[in-house]
Amino acid sequence: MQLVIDREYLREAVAQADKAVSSRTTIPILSGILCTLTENEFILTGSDSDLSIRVTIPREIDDNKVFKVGKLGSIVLPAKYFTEIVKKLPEGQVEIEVKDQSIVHIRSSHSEFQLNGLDAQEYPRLPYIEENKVLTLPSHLFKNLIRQTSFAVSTQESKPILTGVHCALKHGELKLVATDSHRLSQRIVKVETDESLSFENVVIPGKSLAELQRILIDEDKPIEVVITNNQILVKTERILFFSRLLDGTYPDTERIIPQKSQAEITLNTKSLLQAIERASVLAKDGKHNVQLTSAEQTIHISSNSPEVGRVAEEVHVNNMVGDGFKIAFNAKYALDALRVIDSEEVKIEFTGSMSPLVLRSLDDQQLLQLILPIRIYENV
Amino acid sequence: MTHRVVFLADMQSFYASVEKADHPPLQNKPVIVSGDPKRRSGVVLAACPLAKKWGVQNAERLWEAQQKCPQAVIVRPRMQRYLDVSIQITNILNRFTDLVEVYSVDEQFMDVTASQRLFGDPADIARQVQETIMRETGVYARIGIGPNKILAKMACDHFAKKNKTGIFQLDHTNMQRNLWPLPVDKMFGVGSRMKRHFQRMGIRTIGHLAHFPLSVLKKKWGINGQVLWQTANGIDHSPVSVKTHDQQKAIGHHMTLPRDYETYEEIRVVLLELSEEVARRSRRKHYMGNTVSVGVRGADFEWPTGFYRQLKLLGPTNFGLDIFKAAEQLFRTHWDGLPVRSVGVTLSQLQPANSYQLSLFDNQLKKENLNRALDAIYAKFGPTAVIRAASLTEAGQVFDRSQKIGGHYK
Amino acid sequence: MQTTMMNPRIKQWVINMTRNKRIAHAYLFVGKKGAGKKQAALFFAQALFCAEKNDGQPCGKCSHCLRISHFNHPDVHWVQPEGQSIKIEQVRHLQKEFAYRSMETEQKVYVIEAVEMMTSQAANSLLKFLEEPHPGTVALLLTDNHRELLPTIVSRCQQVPFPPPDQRNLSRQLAKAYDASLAHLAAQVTSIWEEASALCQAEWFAELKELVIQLTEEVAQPSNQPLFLILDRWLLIAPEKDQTDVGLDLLLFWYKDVLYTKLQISEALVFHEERDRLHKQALAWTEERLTQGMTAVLNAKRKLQAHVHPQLVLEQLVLKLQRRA
Repeated sequence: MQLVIDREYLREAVAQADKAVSSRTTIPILSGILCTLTENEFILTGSDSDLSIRVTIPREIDDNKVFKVGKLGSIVLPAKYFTEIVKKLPEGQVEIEVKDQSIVHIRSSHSEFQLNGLDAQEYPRLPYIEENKVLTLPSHLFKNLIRQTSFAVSTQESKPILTGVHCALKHGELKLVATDSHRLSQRIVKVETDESLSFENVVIPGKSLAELQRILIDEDKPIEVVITNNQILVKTERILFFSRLLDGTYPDTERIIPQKSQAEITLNTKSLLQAIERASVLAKDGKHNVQLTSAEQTIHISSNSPEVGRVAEEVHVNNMVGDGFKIAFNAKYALDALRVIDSEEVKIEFTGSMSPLVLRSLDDQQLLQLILPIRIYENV
Repeated sequence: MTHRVVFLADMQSFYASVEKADHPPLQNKPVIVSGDPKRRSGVVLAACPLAKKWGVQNAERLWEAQQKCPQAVIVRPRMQRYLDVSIQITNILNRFTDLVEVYSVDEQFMDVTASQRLFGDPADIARQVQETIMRETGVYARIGIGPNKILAKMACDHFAKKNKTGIFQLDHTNMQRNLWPLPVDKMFGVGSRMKRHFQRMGIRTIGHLAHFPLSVLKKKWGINGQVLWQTANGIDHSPVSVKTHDQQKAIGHHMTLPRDYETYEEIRVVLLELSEEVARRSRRKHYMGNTVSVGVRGADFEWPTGFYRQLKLLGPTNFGLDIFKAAEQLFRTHWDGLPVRSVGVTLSQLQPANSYQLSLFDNQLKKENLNRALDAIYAKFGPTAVIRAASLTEAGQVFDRSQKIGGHYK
Repeated sequence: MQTTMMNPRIKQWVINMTRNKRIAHAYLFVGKKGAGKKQAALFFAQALFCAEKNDGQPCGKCSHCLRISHFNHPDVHWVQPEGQSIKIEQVRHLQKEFAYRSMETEQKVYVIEAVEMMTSQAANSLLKFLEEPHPGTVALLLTDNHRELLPTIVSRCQQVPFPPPDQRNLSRQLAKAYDASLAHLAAQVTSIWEEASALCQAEWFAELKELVIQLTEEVAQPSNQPLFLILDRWLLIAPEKDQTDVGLDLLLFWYKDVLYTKLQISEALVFHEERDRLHKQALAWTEERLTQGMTAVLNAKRKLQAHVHPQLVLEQLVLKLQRRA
């Protein structure tokens, strides 16, 4: 392999690929970055086996030549040194050449490095995109879907399947669900796709999604999503993102979502959010219990820590249907949920003192958040 | 601010004294309270002063005690009765002050700082307390008096127990004369290991420790070193707190098996019974717990085995099967396969049961209803009214245990 | 250096099983050090993944086979103890791996070497996996001491006993390079070439051999003094726990030899150059006491493994042996 490439493009791509490399890998070859040179692209891949990032540098960008091909080929370079070297090289052209016995020469105007490379044959094979299984949607939409659901994943390793976001596609509807068993968030969106394309029980690790959310840009440009047996692929213009999926069966969350409510109120999202934020100021020991009581035109939010004091808040209700109610819940769950409801007004459905409280965006009823209440005995 | 006055009231040979008070014919005979000699627990739990004169000691084997004092009357323990008397004594102390801390079944702290105007000076109050306890329960109480709990405790252990009046006051004026010459291992909190460490440092008496540079002790043992130094200097700021009894940290149950259990299936039965028992008691006290621990001791004394391990639960519970599931997992993981002599299950990280976070995938309502039904039956028909079928196997201990408190007969 | 050949019976067993696709979810490879368990695990993984098998035998050249033997295959996970135990960090990795689907293929293999060195916490997560096996996933657990494993783990695996390595061959090979009697002894202590040749070259090993024999002679004497001199010397030249363990092995072999001498079984002697001294001791011991003595040595080995200090272990042992002698 031999090429001459503009340092700036190389630096940026190496830094992207390096994000997926872990210093504590148990598979030796994954300590390196895979470099592959084809006729038209220079491709860099980093991976920690859970997630992999593949960055493609095209030979030409906006009619500018980015690199010159000398000899096709591929090599794995130790990520730790490769990234450092590329960072420190002066601006201008960089030559990368693999000589016999995997010795790699990296040259710029005044300096030359020699690095011991590793055999590219040792690198894991990543899945490729099959054109007929591609789901296309705007970048910002997918980014938002992740933001609005993935915060609710569980962090407890004892139920690993809940540490991921469940993803399903049926009849052109894409559904994402996350729950840690105390709260649940779900959003369904219509996507333009081949009606026959469908999948279910695809569970993407929350950790991978956090990384993907950083990579995705808040823009209209389409991205491609492909699900294989083991992995999910997300393709943006230059970056191909892979994540292994979680093994196991995701619980059936359909039956958990209440179909009927005893009362419904509509109120200003921001006012409610701020009221709960204030009410949780007195929370102690990470237990942010707050009580919500409905009245005629308002709801009362209160919190009581015997050692600290108590707090009472009032929020105006725009609309109310059904009976009055009283419920206690963890303020953190409510705050997390309200922060991803972007609409001006939020609808709260009360479904019973031991059943979930349902929060919906008024703009998009398909965005819903469930919060399991805190059980309170009055008579003990 | 007035000086605090704290008492430690210690009941002499408590179990034996209660037996003597309840059975006047025993009054002038040596009495030994001992566990069931047929089971392993045949050790001396308490011996009255008469029996002790013959050399009988607490915690020695019953047969050894009988060799020393063949004429001793052996009495089976009645734990419920002792608890009742202990509460009776707490009530007596409460007449003198509302600050009473139950330290153990036969030791209670009381803060009488504010009681002096009503009842007289400390020695007066102590005498009144002593007399009242004797009159109403027949138990002889020794009382240590100090400006804080630690000095009251040491006043009682080292002086009140040994003098004629059974009352002794230790404070910063007589501490140097009385306390400091004592060997360092007489001090509260110093065991044989600590004693060795101290001796190597040239600390032989409590006085030596009191004068030792604090910085060195702190460097060597951290906060523990500081506490020991403060104890030696009679410094203790901890309040006599009524709460120590109420605010329980853990609810546990432990039992020595009638024989060594060797198979997983048999031990499982006991774990299940212990879990149900712990759950029942948590509910009675209105607690839920977040952590389950299991302790096991092996049967071979020469090759001591066993473990004590804990597991954090997904959420709080006081449901027997939840506790059992965790206990079983712990046991299965840590058991080395050797015969087991004793097992214990504990529920800790307690929180009040009147509020807890519900879960989507756990049918807590159903568990609550089941618990309520079980507790109603237990309340009406006793702890063996409903048992698990496994308890009917040979390994089951439920029936035997229902006769006992703390492993001893009621 | 390839020092042990794959046992042909094990090899055939792997080939048959992968060919018939009747694969259990967990195997426990039990056998002495040097019996070829690790090689067999590699072979097993290759037989599962190889794309170009020939008559059931993996090619050893395709990208799967090569990456497996270089520990680079993303769906074959190796766990080796770091030092005295398998660490929490490794367990977390394992736990995470259990939760994920495979990376490249439809199957996953876990190989855990020295599985008896798992902390109980580690064993727990393994147990969870063994109880709820995932289709397409195989665990290969390697151990030379399955008695130290939790019975719940053993009972959930299919056990594969490995025949002991060929000691005579090893001893013959060693004798070409080193002192013959030491070579013979070293081959008894370990069946791994590297370890055995290191022993043959170590001065402490040669001296320890002599010390052990002296020790057995002194325990029969009434005075304690020389005994403790021997122990002091022992701990001076062999201060490490593992070295004391080797010493205890030698002691065990010695008493076994004394017993054999007593029973007039002379062909299997380890210390065959010490016949005179063996004979002399054989007269002083009863068979029963010898077995008791050997039990005491085994107990000492156990205590050493349980991190009791070598000096304590040795002193206790010597006192026990004195009572027996």
